[in-house]
Amino acid sequence: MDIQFHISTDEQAISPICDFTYSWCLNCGLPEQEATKFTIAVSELITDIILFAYPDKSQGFFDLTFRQTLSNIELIASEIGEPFDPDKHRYNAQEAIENGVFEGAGLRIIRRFTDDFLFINRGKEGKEFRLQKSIDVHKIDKLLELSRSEKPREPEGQASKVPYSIRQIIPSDAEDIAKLVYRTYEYSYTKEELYFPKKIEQTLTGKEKLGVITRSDEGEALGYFAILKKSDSNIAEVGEAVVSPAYRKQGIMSGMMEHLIKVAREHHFDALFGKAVTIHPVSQRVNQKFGFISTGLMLLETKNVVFKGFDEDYPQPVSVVIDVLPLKQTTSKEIFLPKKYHDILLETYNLLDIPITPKQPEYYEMAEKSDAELAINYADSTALIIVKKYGPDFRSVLQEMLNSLIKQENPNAIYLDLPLENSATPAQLGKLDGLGFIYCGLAPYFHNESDYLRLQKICIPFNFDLVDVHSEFGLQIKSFITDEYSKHT
Amino acid sequence: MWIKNMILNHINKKTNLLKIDLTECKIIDSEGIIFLHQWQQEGKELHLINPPEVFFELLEILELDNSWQPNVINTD
Repeated sequence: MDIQFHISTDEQAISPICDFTYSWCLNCGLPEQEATKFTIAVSELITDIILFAYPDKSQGFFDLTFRQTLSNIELIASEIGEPFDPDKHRYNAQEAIENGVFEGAGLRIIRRFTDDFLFINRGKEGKEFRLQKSIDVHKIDKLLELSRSEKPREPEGQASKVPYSIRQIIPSDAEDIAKLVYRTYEYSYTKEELYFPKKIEQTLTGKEKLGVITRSDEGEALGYFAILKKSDSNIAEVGEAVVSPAYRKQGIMSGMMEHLIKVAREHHFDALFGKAVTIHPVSQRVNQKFGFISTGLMLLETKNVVFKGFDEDYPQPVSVVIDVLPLKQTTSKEIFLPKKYHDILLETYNLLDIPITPKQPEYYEMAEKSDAELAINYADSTALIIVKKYGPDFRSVLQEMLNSLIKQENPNAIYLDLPLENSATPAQLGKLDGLGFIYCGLAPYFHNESDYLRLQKICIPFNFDLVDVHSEFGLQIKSFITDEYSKHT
Repeated sequence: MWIKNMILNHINKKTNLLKIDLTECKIIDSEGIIFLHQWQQEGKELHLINPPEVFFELLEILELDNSWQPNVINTD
């Protein structure tokens, strides 16, 4: 959940922001001592912004976003004040002691009191600072040690076929969902909130997700499958699919998918999409059976997970196939297909049965400055940059973001979404030459109900042979990406 | 920063002794540390009552702990 503030550069703002930050940290689960340190880091940052970002103006403004997940907290501060380079403001203790020059002291404290400090210069769009702190939820391991006797009982071998029924989930299903996740992934599933029945209950009570559960006639939970609405578009992701290992191969996953598609239609989503892991073909097969079309292959998208009953020694982060199922009929829309990817994108649209009118712009208009949104997935070591507008500074802004991310975050992969309904995209794609991006796929309806070309930059060594893609078109995408990747490396 | 400004509003050029009760203080930042450090470097007297633990951690981070030992009074 995000909390956002738009704040004037007034010293009076520092104290209330610190008060808020401290309470927020405690509410997010940080211990008091850590909450104090994170608050001091925030205080240092906003003090610097207030004192130094706008030296020629009596008043400027900056934005703060407080972002929380179960496993980490993040503060994003953005401002459009004077250019600044943190590397040029290194603290020198000798200078401080001998001459009273404390330049860079605040930045040193920020670095020490956070787990991650990221600075991104966005050119005319200003600057962005991100402070991140992990929340220690790995007490799960300790809890597991303490409650070995209470671990979900794993049925021995393959259970015989049982009669079951599927229905929409309700808050009281929360504990059984957590147990099902454990049975399938042990404690390796990246969405840690799924191990906390109370958290699941909250999301169900708040209707943040929809889903179905399969129960045997005796009431035992056998499977769970959810759809999660995307926050920036009217589409939803099918995910969190689990079937108790002993009850696999009984059609439970298919039955739940059928229910989910019905639920999604009732909620008038434009499309459903899934990110099917390529460590095994099961999810991809289910998606294909229900008419999902593979539209992309995101390499190294998620950290290793242990799938019980599948290959448990997968040696690299797991790549995922983007599978999409359009749910509504649309009228033809104008799409600007870059030449380089014209054929594969057109084929993807045809397979999806989304009518488009491919256009080649004779001219295009640019915004005064670029606008790109960055989302960092700290748990999976990936980042997604969504381009909203192109300005003349597009390449330099992107280059700066990449440099900052690679230098400071060391990600496995960086994804880049370019708007296909923007006439500048074909020309701007050419400006990415040399930045190391290759094709990923089509991301239809992904942001503000608009279509995006997704590119990807692979930052670590990677073995394509370990990526198991099931559908025919998925294999075509994989082959296309493999060719482009080999040309780049 | 805010505390520093508050202190500055309550002192004048003739003030030579600063006695600050930090018993209820949880958060102190570099602005505060710098101000206190400079105060003492100017040869003025400083008494800190019950500074929070993080104060000493900040001195370590800024590598001031060996060269500056502020006069600390613990009343607990």
